[in-house]
Amino acid sequence: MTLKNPSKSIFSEVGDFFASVKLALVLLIVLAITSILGTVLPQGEPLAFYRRAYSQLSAQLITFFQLYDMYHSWWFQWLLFLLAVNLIVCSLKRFPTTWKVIKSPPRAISDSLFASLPFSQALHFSKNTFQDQASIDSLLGRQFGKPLPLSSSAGKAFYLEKGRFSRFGVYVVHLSVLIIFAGAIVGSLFGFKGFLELQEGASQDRIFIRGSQTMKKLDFSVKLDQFALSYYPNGMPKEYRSDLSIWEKGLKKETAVIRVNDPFTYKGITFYQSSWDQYPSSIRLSLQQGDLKKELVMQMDERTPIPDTPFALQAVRYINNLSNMGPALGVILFKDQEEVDHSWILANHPAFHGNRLANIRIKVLEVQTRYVSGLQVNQDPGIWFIWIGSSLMLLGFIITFYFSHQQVWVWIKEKKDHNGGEGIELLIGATAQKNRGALVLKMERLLAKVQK
Amino acid sequence: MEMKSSFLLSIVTFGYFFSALFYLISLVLKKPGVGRIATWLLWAVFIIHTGAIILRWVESYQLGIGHAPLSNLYESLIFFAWTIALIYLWVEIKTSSRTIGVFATPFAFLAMAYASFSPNMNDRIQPLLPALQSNWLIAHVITCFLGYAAFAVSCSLSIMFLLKKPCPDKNKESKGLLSLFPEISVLDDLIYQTIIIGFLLLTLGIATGSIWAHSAWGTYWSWDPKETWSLITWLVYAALLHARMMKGWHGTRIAWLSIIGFACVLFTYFGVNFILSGLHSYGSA
Repeated sequence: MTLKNPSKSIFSEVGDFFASVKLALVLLIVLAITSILGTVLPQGEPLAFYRRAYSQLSAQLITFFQLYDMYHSWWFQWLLFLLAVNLIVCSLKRFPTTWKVIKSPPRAISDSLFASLPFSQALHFSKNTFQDQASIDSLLGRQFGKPLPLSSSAGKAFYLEKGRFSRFGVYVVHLSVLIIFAGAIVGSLFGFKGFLELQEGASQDRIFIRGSQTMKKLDFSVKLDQFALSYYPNGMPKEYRSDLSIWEKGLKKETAVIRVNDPFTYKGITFYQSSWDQYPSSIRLSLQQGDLKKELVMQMDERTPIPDTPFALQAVRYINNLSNMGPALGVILFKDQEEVDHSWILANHPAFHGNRLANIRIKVLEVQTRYVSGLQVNQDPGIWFIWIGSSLMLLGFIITFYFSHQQVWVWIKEKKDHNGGEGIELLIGATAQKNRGALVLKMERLLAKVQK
Repeated sequence: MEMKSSFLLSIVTFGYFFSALFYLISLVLKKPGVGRIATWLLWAVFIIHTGAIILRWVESYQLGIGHAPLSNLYESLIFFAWTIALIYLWVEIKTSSRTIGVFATPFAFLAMAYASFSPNMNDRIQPLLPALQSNWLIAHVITCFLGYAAFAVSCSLSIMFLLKKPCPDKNKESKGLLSLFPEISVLDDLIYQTIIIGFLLLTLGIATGSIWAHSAWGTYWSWDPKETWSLITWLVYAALLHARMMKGWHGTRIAWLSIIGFACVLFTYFGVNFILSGLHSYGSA
């Protein structure tokens, strides 16, 4: 075992650890494996759910590791933080070297240079061929930019290169990941995700903040002027649409229509069509008990006495489709304040035998409904970080994957051919920062043409 | 309504089957002539397939529905098969080797067969639900599936690599089937080439998906199982690329990682729909 360099401080060792590719690989794989957990385990349920569904030990583990919301758990955030540190330290550590390489002149011509290059080949030609830049350029198929003369101990030398900038590609990618992380942090610190339910005609200036029990007051109010939904001929939903207006200090400032995929932004706060519901308001029933027939108008959730009887009715629920039988009204019958019966009354099937409470037959004549529109209300000042980060990442990938810094050295020396005649030797060497195999193949193909 | 595109697509399904069969026969019997037939057949099938997709698009307009045929599991499988054929044909032109076809074309056939013969598959042209009414849908689906197809081809190449690796040709005249496979180094390079195409397109697919999610639901990322599995896939390939570019991993290890990566792709595509649940619920359609 060799002794460690004593000048290497603990700091640089820690630095090396955080800069290492090994750490990056471990983090990427650990993130991939742990991410599976949250796709298998239901997320965001109340703790009681996990206590009921899992063993005591599992429920304790789920609570401790915050697996009920694992992507926001302390340890998952730590893994992401470590990845960010890894990206920053490795980029900072490597960048000066890259910068030096980019700024430095090409390596000087020598025999040892050609020996060290992944591709090098000697070609022999008769004298007076390949003397100038143009001929070198055409020899290499004009693939590497302009040949630049280099000084050499003997003969002439040229240097060609392309794709020097591609050495920056990896930093662009790493920076883009950090920008996306920054966007997520900015969004969670300075933004919010809220929810708002509005009845038609109602207005509101407070929204519920998701994931907490708090409300947030907006400095304007939103009114739902109208909600509309439309269907395709086959019954599939076609469009959910809310007509909104924005009010400030009693003045209408703006109107907007929002649909799914078509939100509206006011003062940096965006409203998305998220859900809808239908609440019955007024209900008209026909009641029949023996020969006695009556009509009753009542409001949802209000216990309404049936005139001239000891009975009272209360509608407690209305659903649009009960087991494919269409709309149904949940009704309770009271006698002298005591519940005596309850049932679903099918609105579209007046003859249905179950449409009765005790011995009273009930028909639904009319249910007036009012729409409620559910709006997602968000503010995310980090969103531009996300879009810029994503674009940079793609740009970085293209630079990293499809461009490589390729360098070619050509050394032309006079040399007697095997018959003792005058001739020249062309030493050609090349290297690439990435994908050297491809460069070697390319050089072989280029030079094979010349030799024929 | 009987549709012409459905008829063409059933021809395409059988076309991929026979094309895969001819590639296999050509390899096993070492008949290059049969291989040429396989290539010609594959090109013909690919053109018919392209026509069928365009026709289905036109038919959707004739039905008054009018959207790109990329909206449900059936249509995505049809498109997936098309992208596999496309990427494979590119690899065949690039390598002038037909042996890869033996491993790549069955994926195209399997995707078509699954779309055509699965009893629960809904192949009707249906209008788009409100959440799907976005141009980002087209960008998202095209980029994701081109990426998936590149990974599928990379997986085929990795299988070939692993078959060939333990028995390197002792001499060039070796008559073994494996001697017909491209050189180990060529396979290794192609695995990398197809993975970077896939990785670029997967990234683009995730990005277009987030833009769409942001306009539909207000969040660009919600850790829905499909999103998370696409991220898991992305992380596996990111690790592979770091291992290859920075650690100099080559050959066997990269081939295995590429197969694991494609297993993640398959889980993202199918597993999430049938085993897990979430926003991308077309599996139940």
